[in-house]
Amino acid sequence: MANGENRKRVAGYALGMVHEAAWILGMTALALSMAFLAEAIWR
Amino acid sequence: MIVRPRLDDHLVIGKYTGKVIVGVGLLMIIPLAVSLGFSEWDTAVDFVISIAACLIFGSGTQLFCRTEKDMNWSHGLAVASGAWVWATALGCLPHYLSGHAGSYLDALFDVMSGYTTTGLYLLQDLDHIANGLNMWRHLLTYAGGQGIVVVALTFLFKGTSGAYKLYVGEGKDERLLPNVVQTARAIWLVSLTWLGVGTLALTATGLYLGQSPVRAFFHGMWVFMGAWSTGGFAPQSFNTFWFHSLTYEVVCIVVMIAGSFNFALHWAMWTGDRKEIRKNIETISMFVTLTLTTLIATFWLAKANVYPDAMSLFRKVFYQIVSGHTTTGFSTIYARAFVTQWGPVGLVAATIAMAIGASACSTGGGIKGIRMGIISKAVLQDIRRMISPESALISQKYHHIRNVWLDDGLVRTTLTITVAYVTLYGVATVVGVLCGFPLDQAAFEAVSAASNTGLSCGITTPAMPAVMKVTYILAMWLGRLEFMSVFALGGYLWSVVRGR
Amino acid sequence: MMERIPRMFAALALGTALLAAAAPAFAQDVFPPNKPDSTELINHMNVPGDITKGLFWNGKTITFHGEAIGEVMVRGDYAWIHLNDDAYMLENVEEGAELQGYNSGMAVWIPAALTKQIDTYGDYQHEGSIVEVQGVFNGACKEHGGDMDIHATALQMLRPGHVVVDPVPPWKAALAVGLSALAVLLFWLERKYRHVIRPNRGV
Repeated sequence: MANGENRKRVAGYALGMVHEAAWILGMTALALSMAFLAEAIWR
Repeated sequence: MIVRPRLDDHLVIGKYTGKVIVGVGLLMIIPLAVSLGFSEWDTAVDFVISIAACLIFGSGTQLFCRTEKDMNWSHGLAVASGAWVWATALGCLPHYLSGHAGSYLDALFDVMSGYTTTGLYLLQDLDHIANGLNMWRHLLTYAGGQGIVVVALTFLFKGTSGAYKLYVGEGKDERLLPNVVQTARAIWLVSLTWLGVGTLALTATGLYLGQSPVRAFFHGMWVFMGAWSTGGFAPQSFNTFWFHSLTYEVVCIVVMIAGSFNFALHWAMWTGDRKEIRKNIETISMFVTLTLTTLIATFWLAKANVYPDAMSLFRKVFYQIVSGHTTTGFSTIYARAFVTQWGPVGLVAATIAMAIGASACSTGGGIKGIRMGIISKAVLQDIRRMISPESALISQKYHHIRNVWLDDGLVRTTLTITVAYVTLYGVATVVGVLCGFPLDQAAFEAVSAASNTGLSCGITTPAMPAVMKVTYILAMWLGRLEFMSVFALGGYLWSVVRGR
Repeated sequence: MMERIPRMFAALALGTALLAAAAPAFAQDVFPPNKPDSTELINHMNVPGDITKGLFWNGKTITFHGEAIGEVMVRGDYAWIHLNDDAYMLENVEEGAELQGYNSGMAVWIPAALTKQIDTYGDYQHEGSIVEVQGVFNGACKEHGGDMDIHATALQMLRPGHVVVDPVPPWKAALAVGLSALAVLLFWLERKYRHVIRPNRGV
């Protein structure tokens, strides 16, 4: 019982971390597209 | 009337300061072990001397300041800010004894920079320093990111009375859990889990990039510590430019931004509230300001034609801007390249990013996302008031973990701290200008120090005038502790001299 | 038996003298300064203050020497090395080099086979080999995500590296022992008297 709850908690931590990383990678992708846009406009 | 502190007050402050310093001494056991492992005997002896000095100070003050009196608010604030001074003065002994610091002041500068997670450094010949000393540089920045008082709270304090006051004194005021010691432990859980995962990711990348296993591991751990604590130290003088790798940079970006998040946000995400990241005022604020500053720098540098293609434009601009905005201070360009390749607009964009900085209750510095958010909301509210009929009641709320209504008291304290930051930026800039540096560069470097970022455009060097070193040390200290506890310490000292 | 001791001292003294004579020899090696050196490569703009005009040395073939620092990172047929042409190139601080500011150097992208000649990379316990490379300087390299680097095609060894010893000075050892003893004493005293509080001191 306690073991199952523990596993659930740890899974929650891991999922939380993955969500955080996904948000950050989303920002990174946005910046990448900005760079391509800037290149397309000025060159 | 100012009340002169009684003997009791001195005893309380002394006792708790002593406890924190013992904690700093115990922390040095880790770099000592690393030194011994690499047979760096001279460095190991430096650490033995420094540990002994910390224990003598810590045990000595506790021995002479025995009291059962509890801390009140002003004690807590004075201990927090005072402990940082002593922890710096004693924590810089390994730097000083290594012979790589030009003076004791330089060593102080480096350690204050480490604790405050700034990342500016004055150590010379960094490429030839001992692994033990590198371990200490990165460990103290990692510990400083959580807050050295939080470190002591977790491991050395048995009771919780007074602990919350110390915790707030160090610039953190979120309670993730009802009890402050539990909160400190939750912060450690988040930090240590990220440490494990991040070090693993960077070590694996390092191995793939051609590093030997031992170097890949230590560099991975140190770079993680520099990134997570938004510190910005790295083991080589080339900083993260050393690795020449998109993968390494992306992992660093993830860790830097994650490190700049509010611990309350981490905790909410980890305990199931996963929509928080899209609703939180701080992530929204960061999204807006990071996008804007990246946009300015990207378009300006694209127009100036400094970087040859979109990919290099992205890698150079986004990395430096993220590093600035999260107040980390990693760079993949040379310090002077901010002047010779980024030019004035690039400098200004990076300066704005640094000035705004990370989230509150994170490891980062700067004005902080929550204040930017609250001020924007307050301005919005005022505008809505202006265009609405006089009788209308305009209320405004923001979301941080839960919905909070804006009231004038909150806006006022927010503005007070923001004005304090802007003033600090201004004063430190003026000192730079008076020492003969151009305005844009002096502003960049001053904001970098006061927002605990650590990017440099080449002004910070061991040859810099001592007055600037002292200014930057004070700026780092004030900026990290968010003024209040330093003012409390100042008030305490003043009352000792002038009180009745 | 008694005679041996002075002889041992003499041998020790001779050894020390030889070491002392050998150590500065590293510093006496003279290499003409790089033209351009790393500082100039970073700082020299075509038109000062105008970044759109680019760095002066961008795209030019240069000869550059420095101490190989840290490690070689092999990536397929090529490798990254870093050459420092700073004040610590000949000897490091532990050997008595004067503190003269930060490290300064250049990243070099070079065929991995050429790096085999480099016997030592500089760190705390080593002074790296000094090598010279010829190649093209890139202010912002297209191949490497805008990195400032030198794409080298040739490498010559100028001076092999050496091991650096950092002995513990006797005063430091004595200080460590003395302070440790005092620390242990105070730590013990504090534990012992922690709960002995004079009545007027508590609240």
